[in-house]
Amino acid sequence: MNMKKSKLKCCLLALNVTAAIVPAAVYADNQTDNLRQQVDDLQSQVDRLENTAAERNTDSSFHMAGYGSVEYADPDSGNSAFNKVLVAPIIHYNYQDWLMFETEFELSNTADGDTELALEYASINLFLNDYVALGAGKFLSPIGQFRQNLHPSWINKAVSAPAGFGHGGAAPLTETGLQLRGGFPLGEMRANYAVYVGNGPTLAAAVEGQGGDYELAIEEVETEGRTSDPDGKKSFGGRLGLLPFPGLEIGISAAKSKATVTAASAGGHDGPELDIESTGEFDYDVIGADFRYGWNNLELRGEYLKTEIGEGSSGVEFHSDDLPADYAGPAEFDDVEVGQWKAWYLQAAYKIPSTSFEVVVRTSELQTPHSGENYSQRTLGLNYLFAPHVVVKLNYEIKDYDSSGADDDNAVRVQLAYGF
Amino acid sequence: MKISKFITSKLFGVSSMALLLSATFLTPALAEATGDAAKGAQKWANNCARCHNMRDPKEFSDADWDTAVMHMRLRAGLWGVDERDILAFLQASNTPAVKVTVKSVSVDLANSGLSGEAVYKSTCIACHGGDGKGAFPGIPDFTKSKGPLSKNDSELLSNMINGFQSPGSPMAMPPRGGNVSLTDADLKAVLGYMRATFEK
Repeated sequence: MNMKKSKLKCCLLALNVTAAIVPAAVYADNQTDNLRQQVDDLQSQVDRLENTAAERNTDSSFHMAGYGSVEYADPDSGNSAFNKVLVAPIIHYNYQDWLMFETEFELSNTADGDTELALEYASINLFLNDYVALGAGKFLSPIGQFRQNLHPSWINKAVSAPAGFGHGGAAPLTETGLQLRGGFPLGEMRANYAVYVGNGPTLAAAVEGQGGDYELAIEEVETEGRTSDPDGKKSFGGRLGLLPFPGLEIGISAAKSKATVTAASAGGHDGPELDIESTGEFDYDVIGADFRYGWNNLELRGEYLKTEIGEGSSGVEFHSDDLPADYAGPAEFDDVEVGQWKAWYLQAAYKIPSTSFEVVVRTSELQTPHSGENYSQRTLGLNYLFAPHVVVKLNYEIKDYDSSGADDDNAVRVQLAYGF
Repeated sequence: MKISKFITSKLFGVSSMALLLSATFLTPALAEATGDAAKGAQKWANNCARCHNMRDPKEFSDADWDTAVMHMRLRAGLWGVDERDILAFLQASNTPAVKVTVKSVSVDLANSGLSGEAVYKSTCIACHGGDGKGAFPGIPDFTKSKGPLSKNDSELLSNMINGFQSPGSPMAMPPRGGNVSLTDADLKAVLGYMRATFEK
């Protein structure tokens, strides 16, 4: 009897133990799965961090950026065409945290199917301290804002550049020399600056005959940074930007130099190029102002630039065997028609809330000493942002020339731009 | 007259360059070695939009941002400390957000040393704005009745801790708003502040 009771007790005890162990084992399995999952997650994170550390465990870093765009234009006069394909690769190479080399190329196709290649900039920059970087090489002109910071197609809110802010306009393009850039606190405000010394611009002139009188006039101020300085006088300039509060930036710019005539053509700038020698020089002065105000979805921008070619003498002498057969004018000119190149624009951009659309309105104007080249340009645009750096723009552009002889050039323009 | 004018202008230019170079070498170099991600978020919002649309932090790797932000320092005239702070924010924010809607989290709510308002104004305000409506396009509006605050606290805390991509937004909110120093309790505090301030 006692034996039976003992066996029953043993069975009950075994049953209790089993009943206790089985759920505990199931619970332990769940815990193990959870732990295994956590270990796997941690292993993934460790792998990622190891990769990152390996990638960053070098003194030098390389980064390729840039932008590309494709354009289509349908002008009121002329045929519609896919009129521009452009790629502008930018290469950055930095050594530790105090040196950066940066360069940008610009490749685009032409109306004839050829390819144009240009070196936009290439400079070595030393970060001397928290407030100063010294750059040497070819750099974007710091005069104004559009040329140095806003011209890339994925940043520019419209398809075209404002009147006078492209090639051959009033805004300096690039410079070759030394540049100091940076920012500093100014009381409660922030300030940024760029000052440079460079080779400076040169001048392109043209001889035009009117009623037997021949006149030499400055056609264009050539501001693409070059590796020679024909007048031997360096150019000094820069920009100071003030930010009284986030959202508002006001900038002033100025540059001063001498410039000499290095190219001349007969019968306007489309005429045959002449072989010249020049010993004279002219004053070259630029002043400018710009602003940017951002408030929620609205952004307002404006910029004004004036380039003046002032006092001086051309000292231009033509090589006689190069002159056109019907040319009856003098072989030397001392007096040259000089003048001012002025350009401005105002732009408003509004991102429509809860959508990827942006509306853009811009008006701009270029005034030069040559009435046939003066025009105003108004743009109405609708942009769609596939991503912050991928945009398609639809513009209607109205271009009014001051001269009655010039045809206005209104066009629908579409551009797909990608900043990478 | 012309000669003296030219000499004056040249002297002015040379003097300006000399002055700046002197200031360069008299200023202590690289005072801080590492950046502050919380300050970086604000600086990123204030400075990058001066020229272009805000790019998503997860567009580039840490190493790519290292070089890209150095380039932007040159372009935008940023200070060295700005570069380091913005870089810290971008590198803390470029981990892709967790895809699942709700990921279970163990929330440690003990000891928040900061008020919700302080956290919001130091970290969240850069993107979400002082009025909670979003500082730039694509950021969801907290004041809308069907906006993010219509979700429950558990889901919102999970999103804040793990990071979250709002539908239609060009960029994801980084884990802990890009400020890894924020504790779970700090996030809980800022959620309370957002509900009290913006919820309709």
